[in-house]
Amino acid sequence: MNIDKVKKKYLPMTETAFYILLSLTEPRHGYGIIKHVDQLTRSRIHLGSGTVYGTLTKMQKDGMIMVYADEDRKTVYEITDLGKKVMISEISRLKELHQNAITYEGSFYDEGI
Amino acid sequence: MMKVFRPFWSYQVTKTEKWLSEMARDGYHFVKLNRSTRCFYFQHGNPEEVIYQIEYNQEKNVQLPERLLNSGWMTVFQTGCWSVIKNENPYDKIAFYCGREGIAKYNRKILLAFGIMFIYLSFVYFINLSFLTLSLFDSEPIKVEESPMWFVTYTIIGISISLYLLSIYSITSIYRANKYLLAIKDTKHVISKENEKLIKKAGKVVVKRKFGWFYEADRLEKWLELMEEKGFNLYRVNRFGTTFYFQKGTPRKMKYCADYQNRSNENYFQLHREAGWKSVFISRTFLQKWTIWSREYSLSEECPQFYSDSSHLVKHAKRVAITYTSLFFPLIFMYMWLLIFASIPIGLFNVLVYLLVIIAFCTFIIKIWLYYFRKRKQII
Repeated sequence: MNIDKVKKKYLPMTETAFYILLSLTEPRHGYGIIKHVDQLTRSRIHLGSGTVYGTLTKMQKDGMIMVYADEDRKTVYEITDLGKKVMISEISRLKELHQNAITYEGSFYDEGI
Repeated sequence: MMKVFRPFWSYQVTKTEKWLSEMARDGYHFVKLNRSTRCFYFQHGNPEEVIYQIEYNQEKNVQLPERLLNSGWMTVFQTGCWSVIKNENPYDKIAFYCGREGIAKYNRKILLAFGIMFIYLSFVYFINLSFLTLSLFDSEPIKVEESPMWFVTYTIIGISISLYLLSIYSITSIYRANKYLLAIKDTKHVISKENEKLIKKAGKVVVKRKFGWFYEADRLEKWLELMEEKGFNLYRVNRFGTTFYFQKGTPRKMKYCADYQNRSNENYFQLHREAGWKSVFISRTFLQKWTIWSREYSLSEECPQFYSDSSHLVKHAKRVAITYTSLFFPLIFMYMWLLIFASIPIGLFNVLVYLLVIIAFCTFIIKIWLYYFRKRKQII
């Protein structure tokens, strides 16, 4: 799939998709992703394994990640160049969001709090 | 350059890989493959120990993941979506291998094509043979017209029979290969057969039957969870998924999830088992790929979720609904057609049977969509 199509399909990302890709800074097993996201979010997000499996399968089909097996025949997931590009676009979108949130945050606090 | 014809190399890929390694051991190194003539080409050289893997990717010219390159893998040859990679390190030094799912998926497509051909040809043979047998009992002797065109008939018969044999070979061969490639394992029974007999004698076993829960999986989950809360611990489900065996024990908090996948593989089971889910039931039929997963949790814990993203829950229900609808709808249509347009009078009994079948299939479809709408309502 070409990059524009993938971007259209995935951006803006769901929290689930974002954290799954974010945890692929190094190749990981499926369960490794769940544990890593748990750590990253200080147990705020417990990814269900059904959700992770579904998302990974879809991303693999769209060429965002690739799969191979380690010596115990356990599946390892690695992000592709396409996946990296999509992540960069998403991160710049989130940066803008973050910047604007900080700039205008003040006016949402009630006076005196 | 040596050329070797290997027509069915892609059916049992692991065998082909081993064969390539053996050839390398004899000093014949794989160079290229011609997919249309099914020929492998080898260059003669020094005998070497080489490990080969054949890969299928849905996209063309895919590069190897970094980890595989670091493990010593390199691409020898690429043609279309296929690539042959090799590694000259000894087995115990190789940490990573390419996945098998691409090939399994490709094989499944071929399996389906041959399956359709097999059913179609079986049907044609059945009709022709029954006509032939009928005519044997006819009072009038069969008269064969002389015609130079008979050779066309014979060639067609010859081709169709060879296609028939080919489809039988392909189906059995690919089916076996895929089972090996994906290493699908069955569920282990929690209680051994001997222990089960003892519990049965003590009168501690409760057997319940549920038919057609596939059309309302959420109700099955709730029912199982309720049974566990009452102290009936599920320990086995029969192979058709219709009989549930409970042991009278202690009340437990259990989360159940009946999950449908269009196809399941080793990955699927690996991930869920590692995440703490146990499979109590795996359906083995070709069309129905259901797994019932269970997980115990304590009162202080949050209830574990199989799908943490609620949109995935709805998507799952939708997939189930669409699959079953597309399965039953043609059947309903066929029976309707038989009822209304059948040229031969079919008799009252058959009419009643057809009507019953149509009603049953319609209820399945209605049930399955109700299940979908219940799921959708849950998240809104």
